[in-house]
Amino acid sequence: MPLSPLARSELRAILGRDGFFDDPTHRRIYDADAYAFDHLTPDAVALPRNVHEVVEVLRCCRRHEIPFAPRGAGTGLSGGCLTLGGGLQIGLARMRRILQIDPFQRLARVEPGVINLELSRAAAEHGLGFAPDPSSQAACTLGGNFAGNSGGPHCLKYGVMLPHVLGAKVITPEGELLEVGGEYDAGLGVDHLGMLVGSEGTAGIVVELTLRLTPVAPGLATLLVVFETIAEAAAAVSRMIALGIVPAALELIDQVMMRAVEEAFGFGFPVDAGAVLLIEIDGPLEGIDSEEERITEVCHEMHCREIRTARDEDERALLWKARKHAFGAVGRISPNYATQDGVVPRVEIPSICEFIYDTARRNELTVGVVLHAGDGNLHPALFYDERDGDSVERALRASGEILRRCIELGGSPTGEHGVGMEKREFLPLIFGPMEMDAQAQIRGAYDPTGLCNPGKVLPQGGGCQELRVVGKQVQA
Amino acid sequence: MNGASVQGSGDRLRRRLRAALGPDALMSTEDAAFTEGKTGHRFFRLEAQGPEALRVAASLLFEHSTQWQPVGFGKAFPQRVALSTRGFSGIIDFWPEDLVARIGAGTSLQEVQKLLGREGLRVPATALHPQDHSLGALFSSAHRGWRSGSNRALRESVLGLTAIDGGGRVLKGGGRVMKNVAGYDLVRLHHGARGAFGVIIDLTIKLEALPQSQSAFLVPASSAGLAGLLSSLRLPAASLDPVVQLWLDEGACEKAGFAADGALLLQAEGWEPAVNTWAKGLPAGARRIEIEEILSRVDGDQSWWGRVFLGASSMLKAWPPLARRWRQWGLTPALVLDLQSGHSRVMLGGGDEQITAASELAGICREQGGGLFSEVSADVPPSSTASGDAPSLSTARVALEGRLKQAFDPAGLLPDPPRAVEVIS
Repeated sequence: MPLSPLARSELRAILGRDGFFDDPTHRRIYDADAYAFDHLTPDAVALPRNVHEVVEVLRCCRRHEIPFAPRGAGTGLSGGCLTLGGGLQIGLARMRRILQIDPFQRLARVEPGVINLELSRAAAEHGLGFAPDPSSQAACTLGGNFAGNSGGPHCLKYGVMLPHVLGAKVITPEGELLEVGGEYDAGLGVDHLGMLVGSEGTAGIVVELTLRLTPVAPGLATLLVVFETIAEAAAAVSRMIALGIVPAALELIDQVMMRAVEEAFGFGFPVDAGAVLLIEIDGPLEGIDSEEERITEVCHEMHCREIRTARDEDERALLWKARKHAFGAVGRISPNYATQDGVVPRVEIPSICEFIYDTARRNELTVGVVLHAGDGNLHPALFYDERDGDSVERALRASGEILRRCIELGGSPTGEHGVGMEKREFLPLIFGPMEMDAQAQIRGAYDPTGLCNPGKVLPQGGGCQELRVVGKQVQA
Repeated sequence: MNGASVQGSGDRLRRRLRAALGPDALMSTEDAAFTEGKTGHRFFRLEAQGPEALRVAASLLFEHSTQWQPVGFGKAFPQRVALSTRGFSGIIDFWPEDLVARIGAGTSLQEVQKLLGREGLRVPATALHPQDHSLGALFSSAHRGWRSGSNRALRESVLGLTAIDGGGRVLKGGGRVMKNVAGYDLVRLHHGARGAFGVIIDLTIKLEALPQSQSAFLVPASSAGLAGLLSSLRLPAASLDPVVQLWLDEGACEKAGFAADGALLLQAEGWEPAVNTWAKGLPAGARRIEIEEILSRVDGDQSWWGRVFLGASSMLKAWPPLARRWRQWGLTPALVLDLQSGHSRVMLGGGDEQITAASELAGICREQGGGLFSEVSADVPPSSTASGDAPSLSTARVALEGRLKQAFDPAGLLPDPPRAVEVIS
């Protein structure tokens, strides 16, 4: 339902002239996130500054039956914050205060618009940090991380967002305050916090978070291990896991991505190698050398060509910059790319890598692969050109094939990017009809109004046909 | 509760259950072979020997509108049918190279740790008397254990599960991979819900390797000096961060058999040189202990009143004056506070005043955004421990839980979602 003049007037009264926008320029700014395949312009944009404004905006939405979608920094990769079918986009970026850092209890209270990296920087003086570290951590918001149950390279050891969220204040779609958790771990009754983390902004708008801070380990070793083939690198990952070695991070970068990074930044990567593993070990100073030895033994056993160790913090930072900017570097060699987010059991990493390259070949596409290998979470980037409708079609088809294969191997079509608009149609491939009904019931329980981020997470019908239509929209 | 008791449903249901599941599947406190009816309440226990049998049982109970409740090794509330998961025991699937296992919900923690220990692995869970706790019960009661820091508890390690809901639907949630954000979380739905939405059949769990080394110590520490002392014994001041960080108050120390204003129980684990270095840095007076032994002694008379969920700072501030006053009333309060999770177990001691004391504590929890959870064992009805039990929940939360209940227990046959204690009359 389009916004009526009365609704616009009420929203403007709540938010002021600099908090509500319905002009074409502002609406256009908010028509996309980092999901490449779709642009959907909202009817209007709300930028609340505090909890009171969020409550009043949601109550207004309810009165006028306006669908709304919350938005953090717009770095999401599945179209989760787009307003499907119109409605109000509610940006939380202005609510960006760190309210408290408590070094004794190792927790922080923050507003949802705080940038992920800013929290770690603020906590650093106490020897603490915030563990989830998505590649977009310099831009993404903690509210967005909450909605997406975000991960990042170091969640191999420290876990994704869920264990790092102690409490949340959420404004329900009915405009009521729902407080869950607090300064303690879950356990006080039904685990609503566990249900809300990762609900992709479909259960209300989070206005405050209590987050767990993690002590920064004193010992750190960062290795770049070079392999002739990606199969050998993948085998080394499987071997480490089987031996119970859990580094802080265990990332795999293939040759295509290495070349892109090298062209962009000139880090000195061995571009003739098949793949590299970026391995970080952290922990106490005593013992870190022996753990490094165990890892190097495994890598040699799996025929690595070379092992480079970061000699100081600058070198370490450079290696991580290379990893975290890998997708940015793709821009130099392809006008567009589609990043996927499948997950497989870790023993299946060699087979899924083989499948990805084969799929790209069959679809006449170039693919570069980055993996959170320790978690079996793969991010193949399929290169295409949105001006070429055929290449869009092929990229979409290949993406679908890869995700289906992940599911066939016992995995999931999304490990950390979320379902959003992008992967709705894959859910029935994982869940049976009863589970799908149950999921719809959960959604209905948290959002009885049906106004909160409609059209996301659960399939709307249309399957592949829908993807094709999206492709045509892009082409147009 | 909308449903009828198994007695109310008459013989027909019992006949159908026995026909479907075998003559010995349904037992009641009146049966000679039944050994659990010590409380005087009548209840029934149904031992299904496989998931399909359990599904059939749940469907029959649904059809007859009969109240039931999932149980592991515990007992049901009176007049309910206890659907026992004891029949679902053992490791169903094991992927050692992936450090993942699918385990029957009725497997005791002791059994699973023994099985996995042979492979150098463990489930990330700890409990006193591990032989008495099934994995399903630990998960559904949100048991945290004492090795409770981030990413070290069962809640975060369960990757997937299978459950049967109140309507008899078999629902699978999650999967077997390390990361998975596909759809709504049918796994966490059951965490802490104590069977309000169904019975868990199996859990797929991320395992962890046994540590190279571990060492536990007791360090005398009063509440006043605790913050300073603790900051010197964990990161960033110390070489590593203890995985166990518990504080015992004076009452708990006394129950454990030593006199002190309070004490820290710390356990470090990991690489051997690091654990040794950490141990050497402990202050004079620290002594090596076994965590389980100390907690068992504290737990000796099993007279815990409940669990408190409150930030560690708030609890440390609130508890000492309360405990002093309650001692003057003749109570013998004791506290074990987990400094990492903010979960405490409290004991108030005998006497009529304990109800007043519990009310006082509940009030403080409510004011400070926490909760007190009466520790009601399955064979004691909640009303006998905490009459006037009322939810300290917002309207939004009560309405939300009502909708979830309607979805997963449409006939209201399962227990209500657990509630924090607010007022005790």
